[in-house]
Amino acid sequence: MQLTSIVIPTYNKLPLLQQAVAAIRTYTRMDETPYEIVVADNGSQDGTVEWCRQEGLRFVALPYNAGFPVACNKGMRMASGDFFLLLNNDVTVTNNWLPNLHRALASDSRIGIVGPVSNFVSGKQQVECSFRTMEEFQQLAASVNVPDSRKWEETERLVGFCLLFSRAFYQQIGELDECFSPGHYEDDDLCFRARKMGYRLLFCRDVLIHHIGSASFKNQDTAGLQELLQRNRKLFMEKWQIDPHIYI
Amino acid sequence: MATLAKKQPGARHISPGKKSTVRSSSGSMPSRIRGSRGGSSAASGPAGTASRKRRRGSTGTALRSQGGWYKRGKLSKAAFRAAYALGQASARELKQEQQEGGRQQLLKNGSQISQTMNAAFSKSRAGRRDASFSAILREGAAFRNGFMDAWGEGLAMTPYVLLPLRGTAAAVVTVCNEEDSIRQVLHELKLLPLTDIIVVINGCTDHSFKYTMEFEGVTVIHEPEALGLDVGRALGAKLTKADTVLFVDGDFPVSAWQLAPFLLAVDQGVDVALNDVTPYLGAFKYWDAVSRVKQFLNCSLDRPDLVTNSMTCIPHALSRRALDTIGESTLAVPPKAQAAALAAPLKVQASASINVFMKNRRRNQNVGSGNPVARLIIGDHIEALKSIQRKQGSRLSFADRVRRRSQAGG
Repeated sequence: MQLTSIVIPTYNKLPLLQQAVAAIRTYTRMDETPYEIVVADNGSQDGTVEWCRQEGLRFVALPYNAGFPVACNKGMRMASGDFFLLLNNDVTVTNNWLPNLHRALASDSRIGIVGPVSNFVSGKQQVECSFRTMEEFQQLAASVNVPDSRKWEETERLVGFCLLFSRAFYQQIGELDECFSPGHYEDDDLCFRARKMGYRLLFCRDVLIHHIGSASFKNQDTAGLQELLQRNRKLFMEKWQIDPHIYI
Repeated sequence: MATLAKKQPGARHISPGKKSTVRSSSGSMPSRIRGSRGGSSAASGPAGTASRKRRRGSTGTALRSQGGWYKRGKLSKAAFRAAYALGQASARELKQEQQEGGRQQLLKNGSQISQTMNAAFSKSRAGRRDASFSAILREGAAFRNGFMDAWGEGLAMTPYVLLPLRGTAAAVVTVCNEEDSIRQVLHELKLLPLTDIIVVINGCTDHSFKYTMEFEGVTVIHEPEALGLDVGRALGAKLTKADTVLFVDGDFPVSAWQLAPFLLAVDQGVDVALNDVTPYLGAFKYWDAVSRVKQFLNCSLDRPDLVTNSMTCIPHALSRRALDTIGESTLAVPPKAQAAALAAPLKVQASASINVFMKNRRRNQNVGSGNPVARLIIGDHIEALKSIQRKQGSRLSFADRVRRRSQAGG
């Protein structure tokens, strides 16, 4: 069975990371989908690194906040798995999440990347959920995450909060473009490159996971965030002469 | 052997023209900063009379066999003063820019100081004919002294080694329970103009991790299980995109001054800059099996001049081209990397001579003939030779011009 490397870039917000790792450990079975966790720490100052060491996790501690794409890339270079699962630190995974994603990825050799649906994400992957507590959400997800290939949908863009692809794909398409540092639109860029090379992208309605959303970027002032989004969107357009918004 | 043990950090350097007061100390006092044994004159203070005096008293056998790669480049007093003056001028220019631009505190931390000075030094040497490494180092020291003198307040004297590198340079350090030496190792690396220092902490149960995290600007890879030196190096190499990658071990501090030639060599076109251990080997009849097989590999691939020098030994440095050709994964088996480099062929040569034999810790596994570590290394060499033989034929560099092998069926 092939190993999945779950790469989690993180910047402060240790409680979120702890929850993310705890959920992975609870809802991922080593015998079903062998995995390893690789944390890419962007110079956190809140004890993240010490906690990772105590937990015996593999990680790379960068000396300063190098942004999302750089951290992901370094994590992937460290990873030893045959598959990469990029996961944000504010994501809580659910029952059956990884086997269902793998099933979708393996269903066709032309599929490059697969992603889940979630309560909070931009674009087509957003679904309506009603729940009050995380326990309720997990119960909801358990009922939703029943493997069903009819629930898979083709798409032109997947959000970078949870992406699964193979090492072969990574070797052909390459890593995330670091020009988008500190973040945003590197996922659009990766998806665009994948489709240019003839790969298909799927998102799975039978994989519902929880996402808080923009945990790192919300801290910045809204004006700063808007400026970053505009700058990166412009970078994408300069690179490809296409507006990434047409794919959302 | 000259050491900086007597100098306190923050003490003023010695102005040009004055005789140095740093004397050779007895070899038995371990230097906090200059932990290396043998090798070149270790001080990074002003050049000129002082260093020439120290060199006569030094014990480094390496100096006797310097060969061509480390010429005793003398720096004339005039050149020294010129470099010093350039340093001062640079500092004044930068200070003025800072004041005019209203920028706050240009030089806030060690990395910024080092980078700024190095950039200024590289600029001042731009377009100049390459001198010997030794002259470049001494010029850099003079420039640094001038710069720090002119900058004045707030800049503690730190013996940064300035190098006019055209590309970027990184260092990879593998550490497995080396709390006693890791701080010294990292202290020395911080004196070099490196963009990345990658420390691979693997299987450490002591304070190595804690001590490493105390240094700023260091990328730390944490592996809960011990990987071994070679795999650690391969992993560290994967995490950097620098043009030059220097490999050192966490248990043997080598002074920045001694590591500099590796960086300079690769920056100037060498693909694999090795450490020359030939002066420390002794007579062939006393060599161990590992040394013999290393020499055999080098001879088989037409490089008898390298003797036993190979990537199995640190420190060594690789160019980006070498890393792309050999592949980071192959670094995990150094004899294979060596064979790949020689067969490519890449530009492989010895760039410095540091005595690393003193440091190898005697463990149960690596003493005595036929010990497991030796068998593993010899086995790797045999595999490396086999893989090259498949491509280049079984004779490699030992062409048979006597027998008609085709008639004999082989």
